[in-house]
Amino acid sequence: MTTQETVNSMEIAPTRRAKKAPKASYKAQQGKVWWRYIVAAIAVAFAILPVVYVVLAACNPSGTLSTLNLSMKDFGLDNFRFLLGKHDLSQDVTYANYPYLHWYRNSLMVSSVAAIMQVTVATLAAYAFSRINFKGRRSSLGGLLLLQMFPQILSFIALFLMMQKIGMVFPMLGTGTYGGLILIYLGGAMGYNTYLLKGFFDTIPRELDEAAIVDGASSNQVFFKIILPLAAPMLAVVMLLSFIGLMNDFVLASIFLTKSDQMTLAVGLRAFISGRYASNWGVFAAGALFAALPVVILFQVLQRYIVEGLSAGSVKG
Amino acid sequence: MVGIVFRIFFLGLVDSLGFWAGSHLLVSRNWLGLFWLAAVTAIINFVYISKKAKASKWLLPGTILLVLFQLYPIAFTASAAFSNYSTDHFVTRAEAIDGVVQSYVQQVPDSPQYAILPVHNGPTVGIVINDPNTKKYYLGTSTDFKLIPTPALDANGIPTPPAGWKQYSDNELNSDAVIAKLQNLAVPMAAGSYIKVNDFTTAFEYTSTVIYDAKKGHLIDTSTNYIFPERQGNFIAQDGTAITPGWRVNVGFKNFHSVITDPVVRGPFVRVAIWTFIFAGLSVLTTFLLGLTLALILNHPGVKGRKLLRSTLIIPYAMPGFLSLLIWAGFLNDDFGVVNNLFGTHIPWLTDPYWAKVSTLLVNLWLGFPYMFLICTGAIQSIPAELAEAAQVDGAKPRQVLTKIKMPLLLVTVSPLLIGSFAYNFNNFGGIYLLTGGGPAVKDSQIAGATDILISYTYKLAIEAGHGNDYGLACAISILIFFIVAGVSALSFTRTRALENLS
Repeated sequence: MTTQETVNSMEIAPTRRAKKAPKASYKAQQGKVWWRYIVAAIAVAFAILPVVYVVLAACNPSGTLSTLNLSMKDFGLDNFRFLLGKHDLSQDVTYANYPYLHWYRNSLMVSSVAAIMQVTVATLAAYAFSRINFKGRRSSLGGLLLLQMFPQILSFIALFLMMQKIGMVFPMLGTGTYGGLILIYLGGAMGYNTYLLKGFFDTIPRELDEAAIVDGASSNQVFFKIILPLAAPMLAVVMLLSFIGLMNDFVLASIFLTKSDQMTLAVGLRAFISGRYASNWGVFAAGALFAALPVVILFQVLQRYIVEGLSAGSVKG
Repeated sequence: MVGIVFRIFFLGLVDSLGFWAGSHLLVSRNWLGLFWLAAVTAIINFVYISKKAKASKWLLPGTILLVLFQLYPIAFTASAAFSNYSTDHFVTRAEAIDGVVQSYVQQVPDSPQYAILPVHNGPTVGIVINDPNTKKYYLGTSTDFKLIPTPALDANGIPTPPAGWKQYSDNELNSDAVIAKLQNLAVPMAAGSYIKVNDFTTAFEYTSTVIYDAKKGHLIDTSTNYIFPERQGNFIAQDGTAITPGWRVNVGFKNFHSVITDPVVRGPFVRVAIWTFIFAGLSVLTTFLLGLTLALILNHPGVKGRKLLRSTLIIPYAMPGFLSLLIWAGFLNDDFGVVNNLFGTHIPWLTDPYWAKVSTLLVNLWLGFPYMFLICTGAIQSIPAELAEAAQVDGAKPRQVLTKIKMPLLLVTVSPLLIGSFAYNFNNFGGIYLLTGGGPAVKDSQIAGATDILISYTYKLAIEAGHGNDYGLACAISILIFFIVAGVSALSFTRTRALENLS
């Protein structure tokens, strides 16, 4: 279960929205709680012990998971210096072969451009589904969700052949280009994201638009002046979830971007450990930590909105 | 006013992009592409000029992308499922005919020995040919044979390649890929014969004994008058074997049929399908139970630092999933993995079929419980406290409050998410492929390993299988997967609607 799931598991039946709970009663606060702290300690250990080991591996220049122990004897930052291009680890493991910062830039660029475009497209569609009564609205929304159940991984051959043909005419969109990969990512833009956003738009009272329309606003103005500002936090959450999902993509990125300085983090990092097994774990761990950093930070900062967004999606359909 | 200006600007941009793209398509004579481009551009103009198409204005961008990059690939997959599309059937019939014609060649008896120089232009391989009789120079490729101006010769008598072409270095000539390219090169000459490479410096002229009779639509060997019969996308040689490459033909329900009847396919398919259901079901169950338990225990007003706790428990969920999976694959390594080192055990986490299954579930639990924890925390907090208090006033014990009041309400809220989680895990390619690669191997199949789920098994069928990729079969299975997942989801949604109506 990866973060992609947040987006994926949002196909949701309508359920009741319960009222927010008031402060628990005084009576409930009494009683023994010490055993709850023990459970908390075990849960925290289960959650972060593996991460602690990743940190230790990252700070260990000898670079295998077998030498991992809690001693600080082997502590060193060579792995990080390697990633920044300041220190080659060996004759083969050079920055020229593993241009980590390039991958980082590629990932950030491809994922953020695709996420912004995905959310833009999804927002437009969600507005139509939420506010305009057109023929086949319900069935097309259902159809959209059904389509997302198709195992996309298997369509890569069709995509590859198609992008090859497109690339013969428009080289900047063919295989092995960022443009082509972003285009492919946009194929699913109208899926779960639209459904999530439509659910949120439905919670914005229609009376607001109606009042504006009475005052002479066009549907464009309703969208830009009323819906968008109110939905901004939700848009941020959906964009973040899309961004995380895109950063995680391995299959499509590995098929479409094959040159070493073109790769994304997901594809490039794997090269550290798939070549000669276990030999470059230290670098891999360091690279993984760097890669996880922006996502973890965003997650912590936006935590409140994410939880709200998740429950908004689950409660309204 | 701003709207109109923006609209004119936007349509102007679309139309000029359309013209620009159209001119490219025109130059490359891609009429089909031109037709689609014109159609899409016309639709965009119509939708954004017309006053009637209200909803389409908002839906059009997503729809175009959806059709191109989701619907078309699905349609392609569906049609491939009814074909023999595979490693030996990737080409068209015309290309297969060329292949047969070129493989039935004989050296022309009085062929001169041509002096050649292997050259390349990007990925295209070619040879510079010197005809010993006429002393003229030619450039030959797999499609072309043309006269070139007499090039300058260096001290060893080696000609300079024509503009745009490069001579292969000695290193490159040692690579198997280049050698194979040169061996397969057949330069067509005007008289229906070919020049084929003999070694790096010489070539001879060959003619094919096989010709294609376009009128009758068959291939015939003129030396024996043998007409090559066709069977399911292959020409059949005189000794009864199918000649490769073959071409793509429709095979009807053969792929689906072999899933049901062919023991070689059916055996692993049934085993993999059962494990897929177990994996998806247990993944949802374990993550939900752990997440729920933690949410119930930690979401107590007496527990201090709940926010910090939540921030910490969320970390496995916030880590990029593919990285976590690869890291766990290292942790669980039998010989030098951290897990065995830490506990002093020698458990074959990834190499024993049963332990590998346990590993996939454990790792998936680690990755997934924070999500369930978040969901359950949110759901519990949204249950009105008055309900529980009213029950307590009526004499309900805490356990009864939990099982009779909180749980049913919570289930109503989270059950759609549980279904979504099931559908996700059913096709959780990364969760299997990046951790175990589907392994360890099992006797009954060369492709399906012990932990393979349907999607990873299908992926391997399509691109990894050692003895040729059976894309047609893979497509057929992915159609089946689609129906299973969509069916299970639809069924559970109707069930949960019923559940909701009950409460």
